[in-house]
Amino acid sequence: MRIYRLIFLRELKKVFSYKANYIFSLMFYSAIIFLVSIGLQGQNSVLTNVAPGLIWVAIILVLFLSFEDIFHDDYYDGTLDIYLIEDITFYGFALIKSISHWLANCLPMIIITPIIGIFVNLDSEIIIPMMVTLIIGTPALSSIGCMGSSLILSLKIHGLIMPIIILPLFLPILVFGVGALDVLIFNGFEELFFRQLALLAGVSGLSMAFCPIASAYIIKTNYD
Amino acid sequence: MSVSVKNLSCSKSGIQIISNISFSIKTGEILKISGENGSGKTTLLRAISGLSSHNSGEILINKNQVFLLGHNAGIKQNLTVEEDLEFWSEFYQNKHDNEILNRLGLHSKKHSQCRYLSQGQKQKLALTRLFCADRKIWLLDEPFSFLDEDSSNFLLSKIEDHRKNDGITIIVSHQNLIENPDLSINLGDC
Repeated sequence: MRIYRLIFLRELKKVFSYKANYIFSLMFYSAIIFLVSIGLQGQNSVLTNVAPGLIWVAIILVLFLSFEDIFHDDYYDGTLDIYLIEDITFYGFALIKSISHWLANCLPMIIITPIIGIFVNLDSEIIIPMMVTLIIGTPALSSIGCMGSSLILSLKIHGLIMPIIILPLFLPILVFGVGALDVLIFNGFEELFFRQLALLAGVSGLSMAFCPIASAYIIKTNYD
Repeated sequence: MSVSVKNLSCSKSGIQIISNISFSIKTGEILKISGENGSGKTTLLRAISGLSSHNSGEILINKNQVFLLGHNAGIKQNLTVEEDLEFWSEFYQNKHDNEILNRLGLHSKKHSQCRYLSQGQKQKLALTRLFCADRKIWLLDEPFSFLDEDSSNFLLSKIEDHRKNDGITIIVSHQNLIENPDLSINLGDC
């Protein structure tokens, strides 16, 4: 555990020292939302209805920019070699990567969502449920993204391979995340909201449990 | 302790790189591996360290005592030299030696981000990890690359100390700085 704690702290130092990375992510996230709100100018009721879906899709798009680099440096700078020799399990490392990716990329976007919500006329009553769905759902996005990143590890030219492979895996999270908020906006049914939230938590939990195992296996195959 | 390789064959992408190599070295010995580019020197070191698989043959080695200094040393560009040193010190539970830092001329660079280091300085930083790790089996892949004369001599003296302390060194090098290895293998001849 001592070594995994050390690696986790090093990862946090690393991701937070790339200030440009998460600042640009936040700017890109704000830009998408801002552009859509300008595009639908004057149609406040439309914006209110599509706001949850729009925020979820914007977050997914922004995250795609960061997935490529998750394991890239570690593979090419020899870090993975050292960890393999030192018997650090790739499962533990993939888990650390998912958590640090979530902290550096998803959490800042979740924090500014209440402010971003103003541009898309997000109902004030929806802000807290919106944040809850994001907090529950986005860790799964980071875990799946880590798995995608490990898939393209040794490919020098990969283009759109990773998005094409992992995009379908985001669908359940998007469906349950947006669906939970839709039942609240259109039906006002709190019970249905909690059911959808439970499904989202289930899918998210499964992703967080199994994606690091898949990542570890895929990374290991790069060495065989 | 010893490192023993018997009839080792390795291939990469279906191309045979190493075929039927055998050797054995004991504590306090140095093996020098040479050969032209692409002859499989790095592949052999990676196979010995367990990083890459081999087609046939047998490698007998105590994996817990292995240290591989490869072409890439796990240096994170946006961390400082001090952060890198502290991480590896805690990782190996062995405090890094400030005297070595001074000797390698890295002390004044402690607060610089690794991205601003030259290739030679990065190699020196990788060497501090080697000295910090306290392992008995050193697998060194071109350790003199980018090093100035003074630092090369320092590394040579450390390799000699390692030999005296019953360590095993397997070194891949194009330079003829190791004058009296106990065993030499030229992969071009294999």
